[in-house]
Amino acid sequence: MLRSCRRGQVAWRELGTDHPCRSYARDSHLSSPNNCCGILHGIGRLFPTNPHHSHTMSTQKQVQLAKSLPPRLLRFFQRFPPPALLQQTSAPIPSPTPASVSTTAPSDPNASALETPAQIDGATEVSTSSSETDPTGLPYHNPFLPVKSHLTGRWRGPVYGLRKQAELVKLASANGVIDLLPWTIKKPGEKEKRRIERGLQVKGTGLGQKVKGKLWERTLSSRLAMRQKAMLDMPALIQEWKQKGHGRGWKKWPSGKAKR
Amino acid sequence: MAKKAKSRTIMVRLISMAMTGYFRTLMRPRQHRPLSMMKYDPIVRKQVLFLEQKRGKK
Repeated sequence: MLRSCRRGQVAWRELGTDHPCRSYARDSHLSSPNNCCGILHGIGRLFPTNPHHSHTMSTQKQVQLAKSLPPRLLRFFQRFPPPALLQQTSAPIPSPTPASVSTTAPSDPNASALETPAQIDGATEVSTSSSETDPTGLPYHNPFLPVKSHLTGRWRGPVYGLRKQAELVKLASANGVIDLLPWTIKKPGEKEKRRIERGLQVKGTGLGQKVKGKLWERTLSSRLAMRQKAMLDMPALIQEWKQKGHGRGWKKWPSGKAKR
Repeated sequence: MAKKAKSRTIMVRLISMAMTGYFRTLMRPRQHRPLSMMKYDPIVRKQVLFLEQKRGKK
């Protein structure tokens, strides 16, 4: 099942004679034969191209561009099509029917093809958790995030671990399709954004966070302003003091109490 | 009973007019006029005017 797709380069080299989609469709009873083609066309469409080109030329070019993606990325997009592609593609990705959900097969037919034995063992849980659509409207949950099963209340780890996420992000950014990947902390700029939002380990350093602080911290700015004002007035005060005989006729002695 | 005699000298506090809270403590004769002098304030790192603090009424 999907062995030709798994082989990656070899499979795509054979594209002229035996399209991997055909073998995929032949083997897989759950998916439509247009699925892989739709992915290729769809990913190609998401590439920035010149709109003035003729449709057929641009489509071919886009398909070529999509084929130039590393097989690992293509497999990922087959399994988890990006939302833009789901809206654009004419051949819709088959959504899970209740019958298929009730069986041990996971909701996503592509996912079933690429499931590891360990994941297949826990297929019942997978099917229950991933059968519900994502809040974003996708037929699958973000594979980069853990999912809580509503039935068992247990958490299932992300489909791709952090190391694989980082590798996928590197591949996608090298091929210019980083925006098609689902959200992950490994995307460039995400960690910096989180650092700005949450701040340092020190409480109150995040965006919009505030702490009461010690008394000296709360009064620091006003005290500094008072000190600055006093230093600005100092030359005039010294001049007056000298004129009055170095304190002989001085009347304004300080009380020594802090001004409120 | 007779009241205790007041000492001839008193301790006074000279406050920095830079409003840093820095002060110096000096001794002066009780009958002398209040002290005032130019002294170094380490907080603003400058010579500033120091004036004697008003004493409480007893």
